[in-house]
Amino acid sequence: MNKLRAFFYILKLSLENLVKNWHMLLASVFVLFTGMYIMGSLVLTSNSISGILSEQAEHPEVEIICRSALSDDDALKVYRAILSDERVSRAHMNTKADNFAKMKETFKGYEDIFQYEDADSNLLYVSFDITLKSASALENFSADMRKVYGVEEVQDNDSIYKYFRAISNFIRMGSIVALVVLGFLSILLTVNTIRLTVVARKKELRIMRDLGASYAFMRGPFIAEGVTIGLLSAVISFFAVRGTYNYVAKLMQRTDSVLRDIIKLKPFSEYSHGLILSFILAGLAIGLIASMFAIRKYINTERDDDK
Amino acid sequence: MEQPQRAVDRRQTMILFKDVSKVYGNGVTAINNLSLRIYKDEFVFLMGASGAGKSTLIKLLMKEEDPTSGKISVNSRDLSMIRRGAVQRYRRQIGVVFQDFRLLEHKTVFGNVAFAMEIMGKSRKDINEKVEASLSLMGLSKKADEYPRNLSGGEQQRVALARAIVNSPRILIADEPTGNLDPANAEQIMYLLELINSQGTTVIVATHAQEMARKMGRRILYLDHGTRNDNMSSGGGGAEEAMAAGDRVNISSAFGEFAANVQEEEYSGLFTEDNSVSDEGGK
Ligand SMILES: Nc1ncnc2c1ncn2[C@@H]1O[C@H](COP(=O)(O)OP(=O)(O)OP(=O)(O)O)[C@@H](O)[C@H]1O
Ligand SMILES: [Mg+2]
Repeated sequence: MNKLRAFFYILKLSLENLVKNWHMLLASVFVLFTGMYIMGSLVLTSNSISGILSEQAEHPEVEIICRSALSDDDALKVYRAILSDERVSRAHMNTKADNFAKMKETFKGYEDIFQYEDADSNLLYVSFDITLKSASALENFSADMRKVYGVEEVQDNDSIYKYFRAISNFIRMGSIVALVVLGFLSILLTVNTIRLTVVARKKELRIMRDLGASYAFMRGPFIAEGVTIGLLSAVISFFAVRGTYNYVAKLMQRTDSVLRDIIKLKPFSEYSHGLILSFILAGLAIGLIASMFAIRKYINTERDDDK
Repeated sequence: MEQPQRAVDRRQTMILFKDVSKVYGNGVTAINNLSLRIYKDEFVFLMGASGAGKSTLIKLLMKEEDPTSGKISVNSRDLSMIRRGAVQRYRRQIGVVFQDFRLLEHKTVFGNVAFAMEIMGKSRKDINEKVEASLSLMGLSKKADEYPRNLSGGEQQRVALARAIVNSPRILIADEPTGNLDPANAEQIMYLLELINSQGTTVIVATHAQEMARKMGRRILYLDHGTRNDNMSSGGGGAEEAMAAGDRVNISSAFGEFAANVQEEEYSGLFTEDNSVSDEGGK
């Protein structure tokens, strides 16, 4: 079939072009890759943070710490006040002994710090782990609790989440700027790469035109070239982002930081389909747009520019 | 193909220019109110000083340029009616060679000729057959695997000719085909052009080479500042006179209004197999 034969002929020509201009191919694939890599990383980071934020939204947690001098009776009053609050979903009381045990656990291997005379649970405090029914009540509930007699401190992690929310917004804004800038750069460089092969084949194109080759046939190799650059970049970017993500996830698991408890990264497989699809679409779009731009001046004209 | 009852004066017209002018964007009038007729079986020289408009006439024929005014018909088709998207298909009916040969350096002789068929998606088998036949006709069978840089000018021009005819065009146009060749090679090219013409292809040769053109005894169209100057011809050819005497032509009704305006036209309903090429019908 003529069409199929023409297709393979075009494909062959475009691959020849790419091999011949391998340095420019490398340059534009590198820029496309950089663009996709940065975009992919930003999106995954933003997504992970959103995950944390929604985790908080689903399980708004507050820790209330009482003064250590507080009598057991007064501590129970605080407990009752918490339990009777409509906004509370669940509450658990940690006695002084509980917290002492927890502390010992935390400082395992450093037991000598508990070696002074009156080191016992009385130095510690009663605390409550509370889960609220909704995150929206968090701020008010914390404020109310701070007013209750005997309450030393209310930790709702809200400031941490505010911090994450700020980062998330920043990344989202940054992503849009990055998308525009990187997209523009990618197209610009790919246009240049393809234009280089167009110029190199100018004579051939003119001969093709005189011989009556169809416009589609003349454009074909350059469009195929753009698409190849786009797809190649998409695949490389996908594996690079995957590698980075898994590496970061592993790092997070190893650290003893608070982050480990707050940030629970989803397995990469949850992102992989969406990511590769987006990369391929972006690569195709950039390749097509770039090749159209690159050949517009050279093939779309009826006139002989050389005269 | 000629039917016996068809007289010489009923020869098919291949190319018709009617009051054609071409003014380029810079204001230069390259073709000025030019009318001419070239028959299907003709071999015509196009002569005139540098800048007379020979190359422009060729560009108009290839629809690389459109006339500013007037009408052009090729093979019974009004060129102004050919859509932009169909121009390339139209060009396949025309083979063209230039002074500078325009061969691809990185392809062999065979590859250069095959290229003309590859770009149309022809099959390997078809390509091999036709390319070999074409090369053999041009006496290049032994050079098939050479690269253009290893060939003489005459041989390179023969490769260009082989490429121009490999798709069996109806018209072969040569713009200064012997401009870069010595007399012996030029003569050989002329001989091959005659050979191509004898196989049924209309041949048009733009040239400065007066002597050679005269020697060939073919019709010579003189261009002077973009218009016909028949005074330049010494005696003129027979066909030249026939043209002025109101020759007849068969033209398809699709050619319509334009054809009706050509007063010497005779609608004898003489449709031949060659008039049936439609806009979509490639080859
Ligand atoms: N693309 C163009 N734009 C503007 N003017 C042009 C263009 N092509 C040709 N001309 C002008 O049109 C006139 C006819 O040019 P053309 O090339 O047709 O002449 P020619 O007979 O082929 O000359 P030569 O024998 O030198 O090849 C010249 O004055 C030329 O400068
Ligand atoms: Mg010229």
